[in-house]
Amino acid sequence: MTGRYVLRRVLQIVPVVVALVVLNFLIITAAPGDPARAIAGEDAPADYLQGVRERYGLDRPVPVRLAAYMRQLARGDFGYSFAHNRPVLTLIGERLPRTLLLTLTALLLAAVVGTMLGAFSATRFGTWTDTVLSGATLVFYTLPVFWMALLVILVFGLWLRLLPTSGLMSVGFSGGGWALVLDRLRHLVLPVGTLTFYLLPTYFRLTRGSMIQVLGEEYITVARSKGLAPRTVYVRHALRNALLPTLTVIGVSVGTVMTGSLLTETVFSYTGLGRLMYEGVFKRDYPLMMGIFFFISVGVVSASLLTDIVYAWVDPRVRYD
Amino acid sequence: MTRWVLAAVSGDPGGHPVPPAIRGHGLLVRFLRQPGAVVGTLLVAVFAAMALAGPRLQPYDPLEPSDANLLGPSRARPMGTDELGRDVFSQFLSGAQVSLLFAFGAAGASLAIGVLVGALSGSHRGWVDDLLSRAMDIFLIIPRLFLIILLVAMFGSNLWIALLVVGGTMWPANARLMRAQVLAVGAREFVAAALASGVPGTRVLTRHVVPNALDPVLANVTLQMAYAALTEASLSFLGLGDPNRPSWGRIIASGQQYVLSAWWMVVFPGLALALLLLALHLVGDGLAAALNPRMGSRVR
Repeated sequence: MTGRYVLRRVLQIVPVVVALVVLNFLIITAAPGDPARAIAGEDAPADYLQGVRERYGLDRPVPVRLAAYMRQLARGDFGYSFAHNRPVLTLIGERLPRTLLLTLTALLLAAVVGTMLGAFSATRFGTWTDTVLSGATLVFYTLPVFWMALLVILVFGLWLRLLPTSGLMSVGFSGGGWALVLDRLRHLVLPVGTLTFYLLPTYFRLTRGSMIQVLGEEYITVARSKGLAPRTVYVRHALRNALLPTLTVIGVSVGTVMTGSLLTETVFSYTGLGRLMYEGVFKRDYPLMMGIFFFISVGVVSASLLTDIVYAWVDPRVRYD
Repeated sequence: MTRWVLAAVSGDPGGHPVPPAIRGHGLLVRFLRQPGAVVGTLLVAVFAAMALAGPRLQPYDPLEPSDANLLGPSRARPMGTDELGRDVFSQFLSGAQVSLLFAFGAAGASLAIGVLVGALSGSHRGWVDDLLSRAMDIFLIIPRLFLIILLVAMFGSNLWIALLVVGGTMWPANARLMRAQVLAVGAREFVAAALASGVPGTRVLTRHVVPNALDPVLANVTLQMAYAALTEASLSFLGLGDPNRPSWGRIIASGQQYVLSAWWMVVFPGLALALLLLALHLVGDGLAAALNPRMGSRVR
C-alpha cells in the first residue's frame, strides 16, 4: 500500500466535514424562532443572547454568518451549555471515555460471537440448528433496543435482582481497590449485554450470508475433495474469505453503535455521551446536541476511512487508484 | 445509518444490481412459498386494520385523565391505565395509527424522492451525478437518528414535521440502489433499441428503464417502513413525540419510570412495535428472496 493512497483518502474527509458544518449552520439558520436561542440553547440568559447576536453577526447576510460560524468551530469552540454550565467540548470529553468503554466492549463481544455463530450456522445450512439460530437472531435484529433494555430491567430488577439496573456505580459506595472495580463491572453487565444483543445479529447475518456464498465456490469443493478435514476447510478456506464483508461493516457501523448506545444509556441511566444527548433533548440544549451530532459524525467518517485503509491492506485485490 | 440500511448498502440484500426480475405470477408464487413472508404480510394487514378501525374501537378518550391511575389489566381496561389514569388500550390504538402512518408515509416519501434522485443521477452522468452521489454518500454515513433528533428538537415535535424529517432523511439508500439499477438496465439492448427507434430519452427513462429498475428499491423500502416506525417510536421514547398524539413510544416512555410497578405500560406497546417490525422484515426478506432468483432457490 502506498502512502499516497492513504493521503488521498484522508483528504477526502475534508469536503465531508465542510458539508457537515454547512448542514449544522443551515439547521440553525432555518430553525423557527430566535436564531440566537438556536445557537445558545433554551437556558441561555438574555445578556448572553445579545452577545451571541453580535459575535455571530446575526443581522448580517448569510455568507458572513457562515464564515463566522466556521471560524468559531475551527478554533475548537463548540459553544457553551448553560444547562450544564460547561463548554460543550469539555462535557463531551468527560462523557466520551464511559461511552467508549460501553460501546467497544459490546462491539468486540458482538463481532466475535456474532461472526462465530454466523459461520457455524452457515455450516449447518438447511438444518434445524441453522433455522433456530437464524430465527432467534432475526428477532433480536428487529427488537427495538430501548424496549429490550426495559425488558432486561424488568427481568433483572423485578424477578432476579442479581445486578444493578442503573447508573455507573452504587450510590454511596465507599470501598476502594478491587471492591470498587467489581462494583463498576457489575453496573456494566446489563448495558453491555443489551448493546451486544443489539449489535450481534448484524454480524451473524452478514457472516452467515457470505459464508453460505463462499461455501458454494469451486475452490471449497476442491479443498474438500483433496480430503482436508471439514474444520480446516471451514476455518482456513471459507471463513477467511467470508470475513471481508464483516470487517467492512464493523468499520462503518460506528453510527449504528452510537444509536444503540444513545438508547441503551438513556434507559440504564448510564451517564455517557448518549445519555448526554438525551439530557440535551430534554433541556433543548441546542449547542450540546449540535456538538454531539458533529462530533459523532466526524467519528463515523474517520472510522469508515480507517476501514478503507485496513481493507486495502488486508485484501490484496483492492487497487490503490 | 441503521444496521438495517447498513446491510442494504453493503451488498445484502439487493445492494448489487439484481438481474432483471421475473415479474408477475412467478414473483408472487415465489413470495407466497415462504411461510415467513406470508405470516409477515398477514401481521401487517392485522396492524393496518387495527389502525384503520382505531378510533371506533377505543373504549375511552385516550387523552382523558381519570382517578384510576396505574390500574393493572382487567376486563374493562385490557391494558390497564397509566400514571394519569388514562386508558392504555385506547392510547395503544392511537399509537397503531401513528406507527402505520410513519411506516407508509415516511417510507413512501423516501421511495418517491429516492427513485427520482436515483433515476436523475443514473441517467445524467457528469456533474449532476457527481453532486447527487456525493450528497448521497454524506447522508448515508452520518448517524441518522442523531440528525433526526436535532431537526425535530429544533423544528418542533409535531407529527407532520417528524414525518417529513424521517422521510426526508431516508431516501439516499433508495437513490443509490436506483442509480445502480438505472446504470445496469440502461446498458441493456431493449433500451438501445427504444432509443434507436426514436423514442425520446425522457420517455425511455420513465417507461422502460425505471419500471425495470424498481424491484430491489421496493424490497429496501419494506425495510425502511420498519425503520420509519422504529424511528418514530424512538423519537417519542426520547420525549420528542407529538404531545397531542399518543404513540407506542410515548406510552413506553411514560411507563419507563413505573416499569417495576406497572409493567403493562411498557410490555403491550413494545410487544406490538416488535411484532410490527418483525413482520415488515419478514415481508422485506421474502420480497428480496423472491426477486433474486439465485437466492430464491435457497429459500425454503
